[in-house]
Amino acid sequence: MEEPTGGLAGRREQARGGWPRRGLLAALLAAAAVAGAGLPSFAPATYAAVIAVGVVVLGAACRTHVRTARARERPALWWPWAVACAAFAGLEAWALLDPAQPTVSDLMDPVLAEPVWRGLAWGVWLLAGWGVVRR
Amino acid sequence: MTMAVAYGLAVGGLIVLEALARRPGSALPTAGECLAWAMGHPAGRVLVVLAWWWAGWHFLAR
Repeated sequence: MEEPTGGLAGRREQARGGWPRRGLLAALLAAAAVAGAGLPSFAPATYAAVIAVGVVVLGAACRTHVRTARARERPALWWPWAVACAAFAGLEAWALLDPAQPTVSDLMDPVLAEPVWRGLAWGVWLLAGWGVVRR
Repeated sequence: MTMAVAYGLAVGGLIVLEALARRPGSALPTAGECLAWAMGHPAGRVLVVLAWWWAGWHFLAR
């Protein structure tokens, strides 16, 4: 008699396979963050890495959408978030148009010059990209 | 210095919004709920990915 693949048995099986998979992903993320810590700004290798990761995530996010697409109701109070994001975007646009004003990355450059913080930033960015793909 | 304060206020505003949204019974959606709604649409999904990618480009590549 065949073992059932769905239901409780399926979920248990998935849970058994889940932790090693998560561990592997965490190890890969840590390795990528360490590698990213060694990639300086304005370097061709860094440009290539960021573009390559972006292409992979965009492709994966679009494929995931085909599988899981479902319309969600718009939250009633969405606009405070839109205002806050627009304020941030407005500041950034102003700084990009006026060379006398620093962009947020100009302000963060001294921090991100440190390999530890740079590696952490790579890790956070990659983790966020993973979250976008999974959502 | 002025811009640093302005950026700080903008980021602080986002943190305050998230804290308010997480209060029990709050009508304000969390950032995750807004993202989930945006990502339910193909164009929103691409925009969210592009915003994420831009952050990486802005902070890590240039």
